[in-house]
Amino acid sequence: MKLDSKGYAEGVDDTEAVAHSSSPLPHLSSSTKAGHQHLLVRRPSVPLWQVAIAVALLLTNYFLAQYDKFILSYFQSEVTSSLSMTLSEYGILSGYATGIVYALLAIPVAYLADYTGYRVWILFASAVWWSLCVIFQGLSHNFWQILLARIGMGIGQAPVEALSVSLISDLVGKEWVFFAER
Amino acid sequence: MGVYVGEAISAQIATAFKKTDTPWNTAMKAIGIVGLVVAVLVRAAIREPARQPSLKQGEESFEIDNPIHAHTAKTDLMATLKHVLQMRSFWLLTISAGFRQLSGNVFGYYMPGYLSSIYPSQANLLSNYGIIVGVVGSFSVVAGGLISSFLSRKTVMTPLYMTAFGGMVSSIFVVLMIFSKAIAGGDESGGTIVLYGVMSAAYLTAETWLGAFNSLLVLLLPPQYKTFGLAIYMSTIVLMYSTGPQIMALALRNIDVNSEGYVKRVRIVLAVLIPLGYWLAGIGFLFCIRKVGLDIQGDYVQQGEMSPTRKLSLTAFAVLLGCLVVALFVTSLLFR
Repeated sequence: MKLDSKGYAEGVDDTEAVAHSSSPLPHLSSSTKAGHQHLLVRRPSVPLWQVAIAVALLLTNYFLAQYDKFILSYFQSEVTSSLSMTLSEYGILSGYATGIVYALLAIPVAYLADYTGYRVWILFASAVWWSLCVIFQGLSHNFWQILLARIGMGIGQAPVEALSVSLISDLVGKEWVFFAER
Repeated sequence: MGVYVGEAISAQIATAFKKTDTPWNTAMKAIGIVGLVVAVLVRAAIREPARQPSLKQGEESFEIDNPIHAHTAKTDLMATLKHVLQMRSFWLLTISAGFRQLSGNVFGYYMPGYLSSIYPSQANLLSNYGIIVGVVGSFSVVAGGLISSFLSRKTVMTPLYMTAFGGMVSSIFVVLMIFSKAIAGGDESGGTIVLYGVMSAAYLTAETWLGAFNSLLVLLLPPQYKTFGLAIYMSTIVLMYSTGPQIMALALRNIDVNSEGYVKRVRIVLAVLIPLGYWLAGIGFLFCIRKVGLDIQGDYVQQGEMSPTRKLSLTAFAVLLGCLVVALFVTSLLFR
């Protein structure tokens, strides 16, 4: 990635691009889109170190959002013993408890990722929510409590991947986006 | 690659938790607290970036900057749904990937517990398991991508061939994994050697698919239909692959996790369910090849020309999947 003298990635400043737009939102209207497309296809001028931090944080958040399932699978016998759960109940926790939530939320999440300008706020709120639900799983004493906590966690985790990919694709230049999203 | 590296790191952390006798619920609380910290850092460090235009601009009807976002999104969703119904390969690819992920999901949730049960004296079992997943899985998925890229001038169907035949070959190694201890004559030490070898072969042959297949799927969808097309794909395969643990739930009814009966029952179900998913997926992917070719040429099923058989098949699939989800969920709750 090329840097200019200020250490900024080559490209047009975001604010300048928005100033040219008639749209109040950070994305442009159709006419402006056509008129300024040559400007906007360039990489946004986010400093490289900020991009690196953002990608690292999004990766950490994504990794943590997946980690509870490893706990469930690696500590299977401990989880079932301490909560006096049957293996059938364990199957529900690892199956539809989050699966149905993910399936129902896939399309609303796609809407949030592509049609709104509040992705970071949504990602923040969802991360707080699933983190609290993971703590509630640790505090649960029976099957129903952990089931409710996992359903809640599924709601919080559903947007993580789509919003992270959407943010990275707007933070990183096109020539780097496939690498950054690996 | 993140999936495999993530599992490798997770296995090391889980092993550390186990070695320090950290209870599972303390581990959960620790992850939740770290998650809260990361959430705050995400909000503090990341500014909402300006949206970049897509690699190729969509059609006029896809004005994502329209102020009436919900209305536009609904229009776009319906247009996408119409498009994927007209595609010849989309649904068969989705169903095949659903079967493939079903096997992967059952493997991920039940294989570590099963292996821990049959190798109780092997303290580093899960750590080594994670390392194999991380190293071999990462190598395999990158190799799959490189092979697909290298052969892309000759054919773009490489991911489908790799997924189909890779899964079928891998199923043999998965069965050998499940019976690794019996192959070593009941010896745990010898069994783990067999286990690590066949597990590496299983990952090497099976995991070439994920990155290359997803890339093919993304390329098949025109830019304006990608977002909701992938959402429809995800929504369907999640419902399909979540049935795996639900089937396990019913198969393991009234069995204690620490009993010999558990090991026997899990062994049978894993040895049937995982290869079955791999083979169903493989056959499906092979059937997709001609259909993908037609979709690439733009030879979609034209509106108004959808045959009654096609309409009936798509409706039957939607009804069947919906009924299966409700039936399995209710049954597993009632007979738990």
